[in-house]
Amino acid sequence: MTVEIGVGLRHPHYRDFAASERMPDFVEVHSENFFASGGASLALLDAVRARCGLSLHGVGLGLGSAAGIDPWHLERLQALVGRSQPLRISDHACFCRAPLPGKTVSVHGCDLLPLAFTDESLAILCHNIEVVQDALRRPILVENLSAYLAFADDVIAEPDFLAEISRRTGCGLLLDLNNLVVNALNAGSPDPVAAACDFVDALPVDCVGQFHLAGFTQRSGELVIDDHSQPVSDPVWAVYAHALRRFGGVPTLIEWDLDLPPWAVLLDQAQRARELAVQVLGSNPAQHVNAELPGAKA
Amino acid sequence: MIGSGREAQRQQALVAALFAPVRADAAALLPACQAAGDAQIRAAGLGAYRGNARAVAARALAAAFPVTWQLLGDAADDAAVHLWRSTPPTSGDLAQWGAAFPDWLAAQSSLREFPQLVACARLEWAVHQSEAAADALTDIDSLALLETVDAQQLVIELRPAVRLVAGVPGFVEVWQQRDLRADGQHAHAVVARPALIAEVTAVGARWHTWLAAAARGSSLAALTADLPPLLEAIDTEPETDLLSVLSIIISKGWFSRLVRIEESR
Repeated sequence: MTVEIGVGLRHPHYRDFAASERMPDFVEVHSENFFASGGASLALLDAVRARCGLSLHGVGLGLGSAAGIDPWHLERLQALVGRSQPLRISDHACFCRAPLPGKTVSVHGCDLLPLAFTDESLAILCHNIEVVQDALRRPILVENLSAYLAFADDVIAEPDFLAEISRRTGCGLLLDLNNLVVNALNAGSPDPVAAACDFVDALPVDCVGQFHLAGFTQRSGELVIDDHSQPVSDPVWAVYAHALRRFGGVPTLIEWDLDLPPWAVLLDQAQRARELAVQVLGSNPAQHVNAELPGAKA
Repeated sequence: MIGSGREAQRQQALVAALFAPVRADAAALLPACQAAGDAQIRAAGLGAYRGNARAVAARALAAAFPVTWQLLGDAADDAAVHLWRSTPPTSGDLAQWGAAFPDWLAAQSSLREFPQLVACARLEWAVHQSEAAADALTDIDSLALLETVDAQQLVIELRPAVRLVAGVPGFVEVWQQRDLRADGQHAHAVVARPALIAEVTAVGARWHTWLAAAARGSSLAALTADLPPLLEAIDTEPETDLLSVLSIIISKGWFSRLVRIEESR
């Protein structure tokens, strides 16, 4: 058993994936892109499952939405999970849905909008996670955000907030190490790697079920945007090594969504992650792999 | 709503700021969210979300309406933002968003000279829906019902991916050639998915009418009586015989099965 290393599979790479002899251990797709009732997308998913593992990563549930979970969305996710039997299912610690002023029907913000770190926000997020987990009959993974707004009345530190949702609901965490670095940079941290490593150290060791590694865009004088348009940055590799030492051989995903490079480049990034895992954990990373990773399919 | 309402109010305020047309109005909504930091920090953060929303809306529409998007040219991005504000998405699956785009285009006075563009958008939405429709096989064995069941009691079920589109003359050719100047006469199209990819077939008005009646659940007897001299038939030859018509719609991947009326979907 080795550390599972995967890559995000996006539409422009479907043909390359089908033709590729090299395979990652698993691919992660955006759940919402496979909500169709039939057609090419579901046929592709069947082809993926025949060649490697599959993780479903959602961007639209809005787990922290006070308006609740969209029943249609959950129904489609349920059908997709039943059909594809993924290794892991994940979404974000964010909100997406709320009514506009004077309206009762919620609109979708098309983005991962930030949650306040308050007791009420925590209760809403936990309630919605339990709704989803009850429907899917299995635990999910919940990802930390890169957030561009914070709230003056935040009262819970983010690592404690995430640890608490895991403790209350039994969900695992999908720890996005790039998001930690992006948040540290945007907070003006003098040492973003150290800040991200401090975050890692503040989490319980048994709650992380997957890592995301990605790149970001940084322009002088502007916010750093977590756009997944670049190779994994050196600071993120450094935080990854630290996280491997803390959490062990957690499945790891290379995430790249915009300005996609050739498929082979993604596989090279995955290989770099594999080599780093071996370097940190030794030649037998199995001894470092948690017997029961949170959020993994039994 | 979950919780006491405080977080619901915060989230509503942030979503209102996201959708506000004017940036200054959006920023004015942020104090209701209790956003931290000085005005410059808050504006930068909100700007990141508003910019991302524009980009996401544009990508979603470009994916569903690739030809219309190309034909709109530089105006496409602004069109996406206007539609996003006037008809916001209600689903986290953005592939569900865009149904209102053809009507939105039709309402733009600047586009009144280009009715083909609106029809082209309607065709693309039909293609988009067809691509995601449920799979269905052709049940050839169901044709045996022709021997045993009165045609008054039978209906034709078309495949779930079939969509019928009507527009102005030439719109099918505009879509096919991705050119508003394309010459053509066709004002009707059938969208279907014989396998994994949707296909568009230009048809005459009579075919369109006949297929629309089949889609509404008209009995086979009525459809047979109405069998027109399908002078504008797909294969150019008149098709007046039921079996010939069935043969065509089977070969095109439009036909799903014959079924008794009481068993139809």
